[in-house]
Amino acid sequence: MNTSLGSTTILSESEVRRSHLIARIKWYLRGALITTIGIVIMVVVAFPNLWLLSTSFKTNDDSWAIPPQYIPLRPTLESYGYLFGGADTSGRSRELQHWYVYFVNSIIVATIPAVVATAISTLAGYGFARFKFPGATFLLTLLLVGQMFPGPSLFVPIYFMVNSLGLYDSLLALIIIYTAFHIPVGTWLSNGFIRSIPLELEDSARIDGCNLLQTLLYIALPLAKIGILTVALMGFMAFWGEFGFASIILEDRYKYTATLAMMRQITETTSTFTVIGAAATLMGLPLLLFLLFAQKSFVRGLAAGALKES
Amino acid sequence: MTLMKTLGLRRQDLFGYALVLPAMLCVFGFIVYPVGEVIRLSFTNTSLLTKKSDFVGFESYERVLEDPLIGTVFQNTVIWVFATSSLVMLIGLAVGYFLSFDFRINKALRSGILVPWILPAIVSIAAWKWMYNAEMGVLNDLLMKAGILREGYPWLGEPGTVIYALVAVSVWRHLPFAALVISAAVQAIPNTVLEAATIDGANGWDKFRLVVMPNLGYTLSVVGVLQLIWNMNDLLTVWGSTKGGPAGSSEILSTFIYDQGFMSFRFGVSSALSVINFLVILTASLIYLLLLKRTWRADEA
Repeated sequence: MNTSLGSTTILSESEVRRSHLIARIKWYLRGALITTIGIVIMVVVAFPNLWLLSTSFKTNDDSWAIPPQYIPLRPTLESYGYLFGGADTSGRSRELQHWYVYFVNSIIVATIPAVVATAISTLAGYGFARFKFPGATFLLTLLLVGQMFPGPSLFVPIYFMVNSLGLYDSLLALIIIYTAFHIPVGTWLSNGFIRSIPLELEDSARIDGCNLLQTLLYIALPLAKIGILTVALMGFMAFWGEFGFASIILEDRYKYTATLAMMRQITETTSTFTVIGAAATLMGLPLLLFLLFAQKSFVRGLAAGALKES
Repeated sequence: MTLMKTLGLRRQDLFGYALVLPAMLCVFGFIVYPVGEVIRLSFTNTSLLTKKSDFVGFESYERVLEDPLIGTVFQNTVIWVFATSSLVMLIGLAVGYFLSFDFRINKALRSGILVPWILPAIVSIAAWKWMYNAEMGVLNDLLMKAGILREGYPWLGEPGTVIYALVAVSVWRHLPFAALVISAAVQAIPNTVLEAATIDGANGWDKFRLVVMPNLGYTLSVVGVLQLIWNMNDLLTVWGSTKGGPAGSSEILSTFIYDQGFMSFRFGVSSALSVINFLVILTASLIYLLLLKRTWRADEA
């Protein structure tokens, strides 16, 4: 009896251990499955651009190798050299050989509109958030719908307008239209951000004797800092890569933006993907740095901007 | 002062108007006015060369319909817009749901997944064009190594399938945004609701179907409508990859507007196409507006 009792105890102990083991294996399998799914998503997301990055460090011959080299066997920086040297005699980087000019042009047409549009949008956003003037709802609706229109539908009329203003083939024209195009989104975003700031702070500033302008400058704006930065970054992002309007307005090669030059290199010459890869890497770099530094607020801002949750 | 009183305005109202004036001037000048312009231009035979601009009624629209390519354009546009939007919603839902959990890998994933979205479109399009290359493309190499393909497939050179290859690029580019927005919406569902479902004996699939999905209707519709609008407005993906080719087989409305206007200088036809594009976007925007109205009202109160 004793033995049987003892044996059942031992049996149940091993059973317990077995069920623990099963639970543990299940837990590990689940972890492995989750990690695998995560890695698959990551690879699919990252692969195309990593592939181009890897190509940018290959020699031209290696970039055409069959089967493809996943990691450059003879890594070189010569493609990056072509972008700035312009000494590629074979003409392989023809459209991109004045890269630094295009890069500077892109910086100009991305930075100035981002700053100007953010300033105008912040003022307007404050106006809509804090003053219930007649017609505000109508104007906000107009902005919401109007933000969808800049695109192929406006190519022809904008081209005609720019021509009649005498601004064809000038960076100024791009600066003006980019600024205007960013204002609807910018106003909506800053309207949302400012609405989320408690009104009490501004009220007490008013009681302390600040006028409307001082309240805006010293109380509301510092609190809306992150929102304002998001508006500016979103603008920069959009203009940095804009192609359609830049291509119909700019004609002179030395006024090209990086996006235009890259487009011509991709579509109009026998493509040299080593040089394209190098140019693409340099184009992506500023935005990746933004992502690194401003990720949290940026993501929140983007989500809010799209869904108008704020 | 008396004018203000008759209009029923207060001093703050004037300050409000002053604040929004610069923004509204820009929007009226460079968005509202051009929309009116393109509608007017579509009924004229305006040309920069001949300097004439006469009213010609629906002639441009008739020429659009007579174009031998227009059937392909409309068909491709429908495929382009609806395939992309629905795939982004579907895959975005799966990935977004996955991202909404506190798995350790998700921390890295949430920032990593943003990269394709934050990079300029032209960069990703260059990357895909390179991957799609028929002879040396890495995609063919991978598929052949995996035993799926016997020989390289001309992804961007096959008229029957090129539009689907381009849809894949667009889905890939827009997925991160959709996934993040959807995962935020899942996380916004109160934990108590999910716990109550667990106590009631719901398994994972039931919870997803009966608790999570009903709460995502709004977010999914917004994502879908935005996708529709963004893809109608997207010139770069198709133009950068194929220029609408081979032989017009991947032409969509946006590339056709660009092609007719700025490659062939048929501004009348281009304007008529622009008006069609505009009307589709206007309709989608009004749906978007109706969707947002609910949250917006709550916000004003």
